[in-house]
Amino acid sequence: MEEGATPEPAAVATQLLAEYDSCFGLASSPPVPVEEIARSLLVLWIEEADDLRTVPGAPTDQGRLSGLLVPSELTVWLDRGEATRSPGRRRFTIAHEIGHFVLHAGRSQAAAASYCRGSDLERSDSVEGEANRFAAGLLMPETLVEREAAHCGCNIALLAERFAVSAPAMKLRLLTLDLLPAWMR
Amino acid sequence: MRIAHLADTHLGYRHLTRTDEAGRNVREQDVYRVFDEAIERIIELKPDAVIHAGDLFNSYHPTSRALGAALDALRRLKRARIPLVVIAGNHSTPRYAHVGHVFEVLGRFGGVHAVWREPETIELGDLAVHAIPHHPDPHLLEQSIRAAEPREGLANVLVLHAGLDGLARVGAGEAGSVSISGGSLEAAAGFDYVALGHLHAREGVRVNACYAGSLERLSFADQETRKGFIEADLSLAASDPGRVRFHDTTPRPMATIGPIDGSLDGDLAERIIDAAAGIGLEGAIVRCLLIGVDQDLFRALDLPRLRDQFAHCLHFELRPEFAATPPGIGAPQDLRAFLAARGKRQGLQLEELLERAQRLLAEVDTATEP
Repeated sequence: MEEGATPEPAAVATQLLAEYDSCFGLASSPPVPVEEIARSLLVLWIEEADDLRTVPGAPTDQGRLSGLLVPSELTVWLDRGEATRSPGRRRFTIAHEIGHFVLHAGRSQAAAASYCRGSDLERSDSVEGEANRFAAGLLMPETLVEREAAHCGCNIALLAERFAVSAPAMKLRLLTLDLLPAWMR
Repeated sequence: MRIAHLADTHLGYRHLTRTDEAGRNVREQDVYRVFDEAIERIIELKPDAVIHAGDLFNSYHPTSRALGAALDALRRLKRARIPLVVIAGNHSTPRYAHVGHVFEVLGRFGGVHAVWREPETIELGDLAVHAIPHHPDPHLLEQSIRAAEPREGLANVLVLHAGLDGLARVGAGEAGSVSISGGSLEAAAGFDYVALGHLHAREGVRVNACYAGSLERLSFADQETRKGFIEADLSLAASDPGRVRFHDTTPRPMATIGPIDGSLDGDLAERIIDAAAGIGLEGAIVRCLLIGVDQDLFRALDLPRLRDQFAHCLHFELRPEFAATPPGIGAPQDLRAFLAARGKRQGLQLEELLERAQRLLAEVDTATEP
């Protein structure tokens, strides 16, 4: 990689998984223990609030927020309602905020807080897109997805269940990794 | 070995109050039109069999017009010597057994295998169709899937009508609607093809399993999706791009305008018209989403103007999401905002309104002084 070039988010996620594996050991089957990675490896607290706009430092003029990273307090905040409704969404938001912490905050407590709206979790551009690619790579590691998809004929519902992600997120990952037959795209 | 797979035709579906020159519900006619298109195309394709994955009718007691459309299609397929296997979906299954099933009538027609009572395997030459009709108990449905066994030496197709866990659940609130797990679908891994019905969007969910989707758009959730049926060539490998081909029907267009923020300045009707500019709305079913709109402002909306503007649509509706009710005029700091909203509605100048209001308040103060 050239000096100064932005590292590929999915590759950084793979490095983080390797780091976790060397410290704590990583099971060879899904799901990836994203909350454990946040807590044990990165020493991040996971907190929930009914409305993240009430968290000190959160913007109040950006509409409802899904996730919030406060590096100075080493805390990831999640919208309680969303997290309760969809465990897959909860995991994705944690992974997304870890992405901001690793990619954009340089794991530094001095970095500024960052917030994410629901729509940010679907973006493919800008830093939000990078955090999303990181989250996909962390929750659905390429080699693991390839192996599992080959075993179950790209059964999207089953893969989503095994990796504890939503079916649309799994389908997108299979598409990105070019694992789906043309007619399923 | 080629099959045509369609589902969720919902014959007899009615929506909106618009009628054609013969007094027939336009949306009901839309459903018959796309069904007719699909049958015509299927007859041209001459597949070895047609598999209908449930919800042929929109109701378990179809109207004579819906029954007529179905019988007409059966007659045409029979004449073309294309057998049809159709299973009961949640819409076409009566809740009580004593009501009887319309599929009993279809079964007498010849050339059609209408499966509604219990799972059946139908052999059609080199093809075995394992038909699992709708059952409101997901456990029994899953048991039936696990019990189905492909027959040796034949192309094997499993057909069922159910949602799939984790996928968008169209009709999840409907009576008797059920979903199966990804694990249950895995039990059908040995089949050459799994023809699924219930979800209205076409979607491949496993290398051997696909939802055909509905032929017509039946809700705004469908507005972006292509509609049609599937032609599957079971002699080709799962990875072959030609194995599954989608044939489009021409459903009625649907469109969403907005969301438009009603709290922003400017004439709301004008803003709605501007937002619709450039969108092809001829004959479409259109909804306009308004957010944060003041109730008074909404009530004052120039509806006749909007009706004229959207007269070329089949249907136009406003879906407002109202802002919190503004506080009463008892709070002095809100008086200006309150009068600004009221003044805008009545075409009055804010300053003039404020002046009048203050004069009135002063008069009240004077009158009530001890």
